[in-house]
Amino acid sequence: MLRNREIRIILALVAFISTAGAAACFYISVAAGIIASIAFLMVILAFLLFTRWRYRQIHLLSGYLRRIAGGDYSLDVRDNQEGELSILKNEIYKVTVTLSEQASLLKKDKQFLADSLSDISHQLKTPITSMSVMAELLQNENLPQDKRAEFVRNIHSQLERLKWLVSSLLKLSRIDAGTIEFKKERIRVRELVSRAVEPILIPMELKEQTLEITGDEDAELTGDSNWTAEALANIVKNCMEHTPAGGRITIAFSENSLYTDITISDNGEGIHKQDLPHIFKRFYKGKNAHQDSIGIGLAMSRSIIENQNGTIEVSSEKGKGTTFTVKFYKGVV
Amino acid sequence: MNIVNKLTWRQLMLNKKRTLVTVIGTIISVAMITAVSSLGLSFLDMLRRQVIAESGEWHVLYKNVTMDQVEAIRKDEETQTVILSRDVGYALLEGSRNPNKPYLFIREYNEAGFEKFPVHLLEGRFPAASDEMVISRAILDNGKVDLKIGDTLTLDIGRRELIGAQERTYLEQNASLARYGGEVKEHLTRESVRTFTIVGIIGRPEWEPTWAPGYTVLTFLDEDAMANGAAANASVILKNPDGRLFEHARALAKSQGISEVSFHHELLRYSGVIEDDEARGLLFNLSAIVMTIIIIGSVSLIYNAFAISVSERSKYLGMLSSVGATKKQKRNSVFFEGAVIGSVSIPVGILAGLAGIGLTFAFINPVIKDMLGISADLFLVVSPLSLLAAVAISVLTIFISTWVPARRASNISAIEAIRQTQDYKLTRKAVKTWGLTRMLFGIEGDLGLKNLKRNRTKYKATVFSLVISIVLFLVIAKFTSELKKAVVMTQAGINFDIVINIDDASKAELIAEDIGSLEHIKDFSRIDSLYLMSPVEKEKVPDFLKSRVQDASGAYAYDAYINVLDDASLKTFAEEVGADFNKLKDPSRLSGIVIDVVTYKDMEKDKYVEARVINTRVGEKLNLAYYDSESDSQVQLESLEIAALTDKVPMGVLNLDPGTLSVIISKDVYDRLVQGYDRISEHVDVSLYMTSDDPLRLQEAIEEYMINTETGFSVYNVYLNRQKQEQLLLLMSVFTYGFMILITAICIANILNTISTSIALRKREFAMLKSVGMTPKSFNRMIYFESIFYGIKALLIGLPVSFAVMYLMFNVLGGMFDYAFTVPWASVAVVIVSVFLIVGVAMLYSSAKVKKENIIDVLKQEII
Amino acid sequence: MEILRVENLSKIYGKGETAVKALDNVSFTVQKGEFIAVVGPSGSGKSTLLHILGGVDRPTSGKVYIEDTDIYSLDETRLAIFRRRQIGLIYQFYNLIPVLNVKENITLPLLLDGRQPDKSQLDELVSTLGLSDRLDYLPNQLSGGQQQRVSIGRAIISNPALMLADEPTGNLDSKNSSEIIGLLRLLNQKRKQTLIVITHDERIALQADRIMTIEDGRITRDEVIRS
Repeated sequence: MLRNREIRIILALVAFISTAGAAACFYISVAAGIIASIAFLMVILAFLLFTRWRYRQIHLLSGYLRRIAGGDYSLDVRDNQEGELSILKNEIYKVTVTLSEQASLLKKDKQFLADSLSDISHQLKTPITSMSVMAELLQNENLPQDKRAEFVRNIHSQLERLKWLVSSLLKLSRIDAGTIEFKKERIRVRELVSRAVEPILIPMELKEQTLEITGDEDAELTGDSNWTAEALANIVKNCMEHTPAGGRITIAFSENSLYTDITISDNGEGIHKQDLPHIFKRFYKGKNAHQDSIGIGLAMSRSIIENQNGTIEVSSEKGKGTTFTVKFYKGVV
Repeated sequence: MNIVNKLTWRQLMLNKKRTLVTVIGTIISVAMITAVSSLGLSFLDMLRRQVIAESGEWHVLYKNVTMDQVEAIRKDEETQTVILSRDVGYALLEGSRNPNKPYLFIREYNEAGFEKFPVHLLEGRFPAASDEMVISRAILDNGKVDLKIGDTLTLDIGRRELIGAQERTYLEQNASLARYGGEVKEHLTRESVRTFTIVGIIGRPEWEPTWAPGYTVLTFLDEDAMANGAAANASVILKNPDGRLFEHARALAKSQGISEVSFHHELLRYSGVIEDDEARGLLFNLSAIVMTIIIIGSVSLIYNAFAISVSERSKYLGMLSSVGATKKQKRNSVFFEGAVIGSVSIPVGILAGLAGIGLTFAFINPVIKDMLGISADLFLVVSPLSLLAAVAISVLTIFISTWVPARRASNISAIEAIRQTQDYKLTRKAVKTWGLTRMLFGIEGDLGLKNLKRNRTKYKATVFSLVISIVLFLVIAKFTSELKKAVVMTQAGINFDIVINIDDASKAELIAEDIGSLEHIKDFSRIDSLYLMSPVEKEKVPDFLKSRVQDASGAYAYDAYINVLDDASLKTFAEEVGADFNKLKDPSRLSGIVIDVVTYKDMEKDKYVEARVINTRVGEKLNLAYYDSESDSQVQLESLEIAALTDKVPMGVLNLDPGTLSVIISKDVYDRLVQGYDRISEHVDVSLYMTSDDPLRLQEAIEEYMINTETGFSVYNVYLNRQKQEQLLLLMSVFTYGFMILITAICIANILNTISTSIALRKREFAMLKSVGMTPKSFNRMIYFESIFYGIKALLIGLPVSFAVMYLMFNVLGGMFDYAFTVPWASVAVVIVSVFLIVGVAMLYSSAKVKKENIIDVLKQEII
Repeated sequence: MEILRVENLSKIYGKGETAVKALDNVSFTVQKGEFIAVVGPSGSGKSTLLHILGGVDRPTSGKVYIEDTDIYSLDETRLAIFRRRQIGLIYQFYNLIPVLNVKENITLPLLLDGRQPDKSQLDELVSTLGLSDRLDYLPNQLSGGQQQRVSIGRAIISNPALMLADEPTGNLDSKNSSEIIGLLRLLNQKRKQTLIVITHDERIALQADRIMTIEDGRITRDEVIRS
């Protein structure tokens, strides 16, 4: 205990004050001096005992922390009493819980990474295999011209797909790694939605689908307009793909004191109930996923939205349509 | 009954408990008003009867009026009855064995006189002619003269004249038989001779002083036979005595040429008629203060009783208006409630008040009789006016108590009233507390304070009740002590019942011994007193006395009133003032106790003043000298060391003059002091002072002793005067403390009620606090803080208000007495402790009540 | 990580023939970060369960472990402190303290601990709750939705292990309801806040990871709808 500088200082100070006080009392009368000396000594003793107890508690806590550092999360130091020490214990416990949780998350992440890698390699392997087959066939000089042209086109399209896949994965990994700096600008939701639907207006027209956009013209949100537009675009695209010709897609948005929400709904085939919890997962392909789908668009949308303090939710009924609800919260939790 | 009233009625019946609380509160309040007014009236009535029994029922006395003037007085429209009386004079009572009462005192009454003056006929009848008389029984018992009904006496009637006086001096009944050196120094003149037949025997009249030298005999005043020009005293009973009677009587006297008018102030005072402006102001101010307190107290009580149901009522009113009741209907509903409660509680309250007072009287009557020997009983006096006032005050208060919340309730919307029972008006400002509160007392203290502040009305009402109690207690305590002090001051140190002055110093030893062994003596002391002079330095004399104690030569000298106490008395007194008795007894170093604080009546200012008369310290010397008349010179005696200074006075020592220093010494010191100055002892007066448990019996015994031993000394029985003051004081105390206890009890009920209701209303909140993790300990802390803040707030307001009222009262009384204002710290301490006790009990009670509730049960009671 | 374990929980109200079994031998566990909706008809014992989990009502038999603490083995004082630090309760009727302003109501659990809230943390929380400009208001000056947000703030301020809500939207209109639902969901997702909500509102139920159905004091269905 005496190792602590502050204890030495305060002890010296207390001793000095007590001696001075006792001396002054002696000056008044011997009896008073004796009583004062005894009283001062008792006070110092009590103080020392108390300090010792407190340092012991600190000592115990540091021992406890050491064990946590060693990876033992099962300890519980909480004693549920009033007082600062008990609060400290409680806070330490909460940190422990968080740490242990993070440790298990880390484990999950590792697993996830391994899964992802196998997913990615799987995704890459298929086009590469088909391309290498076609490349081999192309080497055959007897190949008729029209076949050759078809293979080249095929390889081209596979390469496009690969390019898109790789760039998407790159984006996704950058988002997940947090290396992307999302801008924080006030965006008018109306403009954002217009930007997001622009690339799919033509495909929609081809499928004779109607698009309806309603909402508060003044609604705004804080975020990065490019990324957010991309996230929305992925969702709208998904809706378009799962909605038959002549269908309808509705985008509605509003702002309240807590968040800005954008709902995108279609009257398409809907999502299977088993798929519903998983559609935002990377490389997840639902029961009626498109042939070309690699299950990365919605995952990226979710990453973008959640990284901008937003949530995305989906509800769907088989045969009636699907609704995506995107909420951008104002505060940070 | 219309539908709204019907609903209200149901509502009242539904909330029986709450209704009952309100009704009881109102009943208590009405009862209090009734009780207080009839208590006051009854006391006044008793005192009035007591006065009549002692000095007769009359209002105005015209002295020395002729028959013509009497006729005029009779004709006056205010006059009801005229009593004529005349003091005829003294006659020698032959055979009187009492050396102090050798005379008959003859007084004449007309018919009304025998009726209206306190004369108790024991045997026979009252005289109907001027040659008939009734005699005092004391003549037979005390004077041992054998007279009986039918005896005829021929008396030489005259006046008492002092022998040896330079001018002719006549003595009256209140002067005892003049003696000097054991010899009688008066004789009777001879003015007329009359013959009387004894027709009856009366008890000794109370107005006859015990030391009076003549036994009272009464004869008939024959108006027709009264000679023209002969004068009598006319005592008049008025038809309607009121404030104007003084002026009227004086005017009448003036127009008729009557020189002397006096008034029966004591009786008039108890009938509520007072002439003296100052005294009337005093009485008016005091009763105004008391009345204000009573009214405020009762109003707050009723208001509080109603306030308890306000939030419930506003909920109910919200319900009413949600089904479409108009504002007017809602208001009527509230008034109807007031009317119902009033019609139950007002009559019950009045009856309860009267019954309570009646019971109290039944209890205290024997006590009063025993302790004070008052002959008059306390009767319950009920004046219709006071009852009417009580009803009016109660009705008005109920009206206000219902109207204010009703107005508020009718102004809020239905849903507000239903949903937010009490907090719809809560503002940020209302519950704002200082940051310091939280720092000092934690969140619990802060919450406690906020809880107080949230409900202003109830908070204020509770604090107000407490304040009232505090103010009442302190003011009454102070008032009583002031009164005691005032009485003591006017008594000017009379602290004995009987005093015997022996002027024949040679016989003093024997008499003192014999008298001291008589029965019925509680305290007995012998004081030999003489006057010396005490020359002092100028600095020792306070400024106000400088001119008074300066003698012709310019030197300063007090009169030193030396009192020699017997050892037993001195020992007691020395202990009382903290002096060393053995030192006082030591003749080798002369020492004595000096009384340096004197209460006297300042004639110029017409005030009683208490003052320090000499600036000196214990241990200093007091010079003594005496004036020797033979050598016409001042003889220095040995000086006296001051053993103690005190404001206490031993029994028998009277000191009314600030220019006189009273000094108490022992017999041993005295003997040493006067050694060699034989002439001094000639001036010594020997007095025996005694208190007694039966002063009248003791006096008889002393007189008997006097008759048997044929020694001469005078006996003064001052017990009656003293007794009267004590009676008054005791009655005042009974009255004031009774009143205070009543109001305090009500306040406690009030506070208990308010706090427990407010806690009941906040159960949900408490449950909430518990569910977010307030520990039972914190919870109790919060409740205790709440109670403590109540107490603190009440004290913060109550104490200054009390001091202000006390000071006001002090100033009012100070018009007559002059002494420093003191704060009754003991009472203040009692108040502080009791306030926290009361509030603490209330809080413990309520927190115990809340504790019993399961959190969850409360949370389940969701309000719509 | 297991945050809550309930073992053979029973609660019987009353005695003898009038006894009512509000909970009948209920057992289940909850993992950290789960969002559970408890549904069932009125009087099925939902609220009783919630109150027992919240440490405000004592079970007749059975045990409740929150973060491995058997909460009913604690004495009353410790249980209160435990509630203060580890449990956040939200009621249908908000149950705010009328004399405390918004800020004080939110920080009440900390104030009871004698703590001052971390300024930046509090600022973040109130901005999420949309109450930044209402901190000095008293509850009666707020709308129902705002009051419920305050009570959510109060429940979350101490980072409790378990947040319990009894019909949090039962007293609110649809707009305010969706705000509250959004908030709860956000807390669950972003903070991995474990959440048990009693509700009749299917919108809330659909947000949950797991729906538990209680009938006559027993868990009749317990399905995970998302993980």
